[in-house]
Amino acid sequence: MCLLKNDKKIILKSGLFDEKYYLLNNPDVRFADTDPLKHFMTIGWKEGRNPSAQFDLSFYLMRNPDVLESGINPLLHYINYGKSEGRVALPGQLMSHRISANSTKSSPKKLFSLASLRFAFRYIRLHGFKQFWLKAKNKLMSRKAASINLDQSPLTIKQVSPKASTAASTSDNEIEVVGKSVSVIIPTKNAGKDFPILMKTLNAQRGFEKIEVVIVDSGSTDETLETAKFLGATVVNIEPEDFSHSGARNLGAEAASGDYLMFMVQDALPPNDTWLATMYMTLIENDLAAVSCAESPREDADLFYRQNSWNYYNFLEVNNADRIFSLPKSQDYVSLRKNGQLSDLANLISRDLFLQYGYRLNYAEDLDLGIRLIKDGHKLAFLGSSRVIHSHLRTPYYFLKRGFVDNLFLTDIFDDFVIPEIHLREFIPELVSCYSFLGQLISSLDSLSTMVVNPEDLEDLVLKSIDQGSGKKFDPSTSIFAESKFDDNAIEFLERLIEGFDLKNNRTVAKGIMLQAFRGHAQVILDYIKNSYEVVDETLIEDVKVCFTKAFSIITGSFLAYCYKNRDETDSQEMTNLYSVMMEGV
Amino acid sequence: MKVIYLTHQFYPEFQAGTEKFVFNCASMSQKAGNIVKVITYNLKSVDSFAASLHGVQYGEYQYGGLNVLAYRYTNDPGDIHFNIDPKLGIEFAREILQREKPDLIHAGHLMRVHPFIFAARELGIPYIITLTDFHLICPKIMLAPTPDTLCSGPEGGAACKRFCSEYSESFIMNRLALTRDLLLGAKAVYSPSKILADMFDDSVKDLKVLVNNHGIMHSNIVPHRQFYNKEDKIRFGFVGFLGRHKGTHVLINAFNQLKSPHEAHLKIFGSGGADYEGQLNRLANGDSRIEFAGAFHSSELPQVFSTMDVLIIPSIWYENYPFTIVESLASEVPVIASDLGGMKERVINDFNGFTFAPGDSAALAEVMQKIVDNPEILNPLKDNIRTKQVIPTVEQEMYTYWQKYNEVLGVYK
Repeated sequence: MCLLKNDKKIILKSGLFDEKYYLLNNPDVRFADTDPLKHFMTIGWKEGRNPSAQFDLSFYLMRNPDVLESGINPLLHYINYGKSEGRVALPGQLMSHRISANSTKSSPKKLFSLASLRFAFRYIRLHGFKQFWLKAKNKLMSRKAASINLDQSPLTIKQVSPKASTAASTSDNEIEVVGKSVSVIIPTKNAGKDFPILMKTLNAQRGFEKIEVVIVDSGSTDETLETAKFLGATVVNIEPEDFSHSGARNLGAEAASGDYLMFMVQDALPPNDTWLATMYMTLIENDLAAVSCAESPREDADLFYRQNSWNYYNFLEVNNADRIFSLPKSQDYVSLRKNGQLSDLANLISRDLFLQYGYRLNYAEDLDLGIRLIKDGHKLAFLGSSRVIHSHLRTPYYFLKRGFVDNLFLTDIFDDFVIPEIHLREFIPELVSCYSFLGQLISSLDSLSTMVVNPEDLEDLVLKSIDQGSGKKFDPSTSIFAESKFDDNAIEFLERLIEGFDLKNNRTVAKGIMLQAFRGHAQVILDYIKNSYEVVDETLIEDVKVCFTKAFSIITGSFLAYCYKNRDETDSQEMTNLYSVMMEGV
Repeated sequence: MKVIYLTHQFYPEFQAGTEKFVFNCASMSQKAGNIVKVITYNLKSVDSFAASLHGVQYGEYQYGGLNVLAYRYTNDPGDIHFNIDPKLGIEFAREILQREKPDLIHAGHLMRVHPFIFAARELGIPYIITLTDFHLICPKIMLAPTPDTLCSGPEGGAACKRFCSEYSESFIMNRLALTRDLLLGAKAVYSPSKILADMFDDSVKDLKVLVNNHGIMHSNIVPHRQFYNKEDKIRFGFVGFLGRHKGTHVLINAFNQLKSPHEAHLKIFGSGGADYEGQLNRLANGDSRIEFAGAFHSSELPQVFSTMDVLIIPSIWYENYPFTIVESLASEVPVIASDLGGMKERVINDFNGFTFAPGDSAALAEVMQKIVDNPEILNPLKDNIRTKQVIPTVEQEMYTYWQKYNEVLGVYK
């Protein structure tokens, strides 16, 4: 582990690892939201992935068979030995070395080196001129800042002590009441049986002159409306067909009377009665435009939800820290996501400021608002030390849709989000092949469920299975989705998707692209398990099976989004139909 | 971070409130991303354990996704239940902690397992304690010198000397000194109820106990909605262990005094000691309106509360944090409870139920009669519970501990 850390430092210092390049060229890593450098050091280099445009891994191995034989990471070899031995990292670098021999690393001349020109041609050939231009633009913008700007400036957080009482008694733990009012805005539709707990916990928040709850309901047929009215909420009704994530929240804001707005969702829950006051104090004392916080899982949260959440907060770097966001120097999509994230689970902002901006889009409106705010010079905060209780238990079918919608959104909002070149006809064999592998993997996990093993054993079994699974032919049975952890909707959807494809003839076509994406996601799941468990028992194994199934589903959805974006005359109608199905209800 | 949860006994053999708390706490901590392990004492026969170390038999097992280490002394060293001995089992505890390397220990009950706290102190491992009963200030645990009397705290040992003279003065004083040492060495001491916190604050100089109410799993709760009219018949219910200190006999005596008994029904859930159950049966005297429904599985909680209009908890001891009362209130079922300890902390007269003088069956009968004669008086209570009663969830309870762990270990500094 220490060695890995040391190697990490060496690679970072060399400047030969380009996080943005790596994420742009490896959609599976980008999708998994895993640390790109860690991915490169543990898996990526073994799979021949380049760490940056400045180092061609395959070329280096081809030119240096001794390195290939030694089995060491070629990039580390180059930094530690190769460079001083005069070995070259890129085709044509001998020439470019001579050209730039006297120039510094940041010299603009380097942009036009032979190597970079070769890279440019190769990139244009692979991704087209538009993507090349976007990348070049980002490259130019980020030259001054080699790394992503992660603002770690100190944040003042006053944790206000909660009172502990279950009855409506007065507290001996008084907090200062500020002369301000807060409106909590919640879009609702059949909010469920825990909604009264949310309403009462909000009504019990302390520290403000007034707490108002505004619900924007789009056609509840359960007790939501009755509960809301009974517990004193302001109710705004809209027709179900008029609902949009932005529109509903904007309507709530217009109907709100508070000085501040707290946007929440119907299945979130404040952890105590001073949560809102803590968020407010953070906003005021740090002169922020808006503040959000991470989530803490509910008692029924499954492994998939928890690892996803953990991985995302690792990406945002709030698992063990609070962060202030401002506009990063590099404005590629990774940097903007990392520095502009607000969360609709809990988003506190002054009413006046919100009304100037409003929410836009029907998806990821919180991120969009955050990015617009930082672009206008505002500061935001995302708290890890304060959390809102929230998690979902969703089906694999939901994650199929979620993967699809997430990736379409990323292409809509970020110009530099690269869509891999894949069509539905190429993807189906990948899907079937990967599913076939998933079935085998789940069966092999059964062998562990009768014994107690450690997380490293589990990792070993899973990764070895994946590596052995690559290149294996699949069983082209038509009922391949039976006997699994999938829900009926997912099975029906997947079976319909592969219907009509000549799997028998296509089976040699699968290149293992999806399996590699699955491997990336599996690695994150295994990292989470290693971080949180010492023992893998029967309970955890069952969770792991479901977790892998949901990971498979979300990856499938992502690839279908790529296929949709790459649709052509041969599959246009099919992809349009698929789009309607995937967008429904998410 | 790695957190060890320490408790005197654990699932599956024991399933009382402390075990439920430790299970919830460890499970939620694991879900928050911590590595967790439960260490507990187990009274199983010595040959049930796989390993031995320093005169202790021990082994590990999995329960509900948690990794549990259970142990017991190879040779019974005498009183391990009420005695606090800083030397007994210390080598074992030290070696286990050195092996496990926890960042933090969270104790749910220190009976039998306190050597781990003494070892943690030697090794510089921080610990926090959640009090779940009076064990640390009372060798009889319940602050009940006799089955029918209660004590208001040790008063520096003076009360113990007076009411529990079977203990030597040196035993009491030594025990109280060790207790103080254990409590003041903790990074924080929590109690689920104010009564317990106040009792410890009064008994241990310089101690300030924080209150963090136990949460419940709302996923297992179904609100009992009903609007009562004058003519409705009332179904009273009791849920709990059938033991004298739970006062079930007070309840049956009160039921027998009702003036219009045909208008009411009493259903008693739970099981307990055969002698006491026999006494209760004799008191019920074959009355068909009194039903002994026996024990039930926790998943059946919604069905249990759907069979009653009012829950009655007539305990004649303090009841630190009666889960049954909060589960009843979460189910929107009003409660009649003894005006004592943790019960009166949860049940407020005319707000969410009624209280009565502990042990006084006539006073209880009066309250029950009032409801039988005027069932509609339950309506405002149910409205109050529905609109104002906030019963914390397990997630909310654990959030307080999560924040404390982070503070102790400087996670967000």
